[in-house]
Parts: sequence; C-alpha cells; structure tokens
Amino acid sequence: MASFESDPPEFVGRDQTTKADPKGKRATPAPVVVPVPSVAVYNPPLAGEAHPKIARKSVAERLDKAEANLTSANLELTASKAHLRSCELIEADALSAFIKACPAPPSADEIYRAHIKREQDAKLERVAKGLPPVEPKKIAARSPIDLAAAQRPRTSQAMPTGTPLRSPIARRIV
Amino acid sequence: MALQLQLHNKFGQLDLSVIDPKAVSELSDDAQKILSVLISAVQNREAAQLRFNSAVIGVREATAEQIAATAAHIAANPPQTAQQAQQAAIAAYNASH
Repeated sequence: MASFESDPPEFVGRDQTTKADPKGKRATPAPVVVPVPSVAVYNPPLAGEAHPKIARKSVAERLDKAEANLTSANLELTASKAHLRSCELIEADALSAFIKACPAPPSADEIYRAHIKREQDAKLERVAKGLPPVEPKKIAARSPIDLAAAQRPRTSQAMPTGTPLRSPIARRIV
Repeated sequence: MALQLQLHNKFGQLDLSVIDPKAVSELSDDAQKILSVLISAVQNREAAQLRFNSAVIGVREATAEQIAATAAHIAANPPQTAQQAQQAAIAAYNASH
C-alpha cells in the first residue's frame, strides 16, 4: 500500500538520507498490495434463448476496464500526493539552509545608529562650513501681526511657541 | 551587507523567474552552491505539482467513465430480482429432490 501524508517520514534531510526519529518506527517497508480487479456480472444467454438484441458482454468488459482504470488513477493520485509532500519538505529544508547561509538583515538598533550617524555627519559638515548645525527655520510671513504672534508667549501647553494666528471662531467650510 | 536576493513572487511563492542573476553573482560561493540545491528542489516540487494536478484530473475522468459504464452495465445486465432468485432456488430444490 502506498504511503500517506499522515505517515511518519522514514528519511529526512535535504537529500533524504537521514533516518527519521524515532528509530524503528517502521523498520520494514510497507507491503505492496495489488488490488484485486473487480469483475462485472455478465448474464450469458441461456440455452435455447434467442441472441440478445443489446450488447451485454462488451458493456461488462467496459465496466471492468473503467474500474481498473479508476483504481490505477487513485493509486497514481496517492503516490503523486506523497511525492509532492516529500518535495515540499525538501524544498523547505533547502530554503532554510539557504537563509542560514546568507547574511542576516540589519537589526532595528543598527538601522537607528546608522540614521543618527548620518545626522551627526551632516551637522559636522555644516559646522565645518561655518554654518549653524541645524538650518534655521524660515519665516515666510513677516507682517507686524505675524511677528507679534511669533513672539507672544505660549498660550497653552499643547500649542508650541510661534504658532501662527488662527481665528478662534469656527468657520463654516463652504 | 544584507541579502538583496528576491526569491518569492507577489503571491509569496518561491519563483525562479524573479531571481536576479546579478544578485546571485554577489553571493558567496557556499551560498551559490546552496542556492543551486534550492533551485533543483524548487524544480522538483514544480514537477511534482504538475504530476499531482494531472493525477487529480485523471481520477475525475476515470470516475466519470466508471459511473457511465456502471449505468450502462446495469441497463444491459440488470441485477437479479428477488422473485427470480426465489424461482431459481425453488428450481434447484426441485431438481435435487
């Protein structure tokens, strides 16, 4: 009988040469059972009976052939399913081995440190040119009201200093 | 340097067509050897998948043929009725006694 997917594997590994654990789970290979072909019941004409008007034997032979074909197709389906499962296991094993052989991706800490280093290098470059480390914020609106608003003290903890003026009246959006 | 080799397609399946040869050339020799093993395994799995699909189709076709053949067989060779079986038993009894 062919092996099924639920059966324990006999050999594991990338090349299927390592004996699976637990040992001795299946010491002997599974016996090969050849299915007995079914024979359709054929009613031959009785002695003295007229020859039947319809075919009987050919229909029975067709059924025998169809059942034998179905049995072989089911065996092929079972074998192909087990083969596919085995190939999937081998593929997964090969993929894990390839991932182990390749360099690991950078960690979050390494990415953060590289980001900090880029920022520090940019600041040092600006200082070397005689510029402030951080570029000053550009003020677009320079009207007296905007300047007064930029210099006013903070009116709430949530609002940062320099927040542009905004009407407290909720306007309807047209 | 992190791995930049693309192995999976947009469906998350291992796909050999998305592998970049340039990225493969940047791998170490050992990694390339293991990658060749992986490529062989993927090819075997794809062939096994095709075999399984064709087996499923074969079973469906064989099942349909078996159903049709069974119907034709029953129509041509109808099973013995209970009355016919009783008559045959009575005839056999009378012939032996």
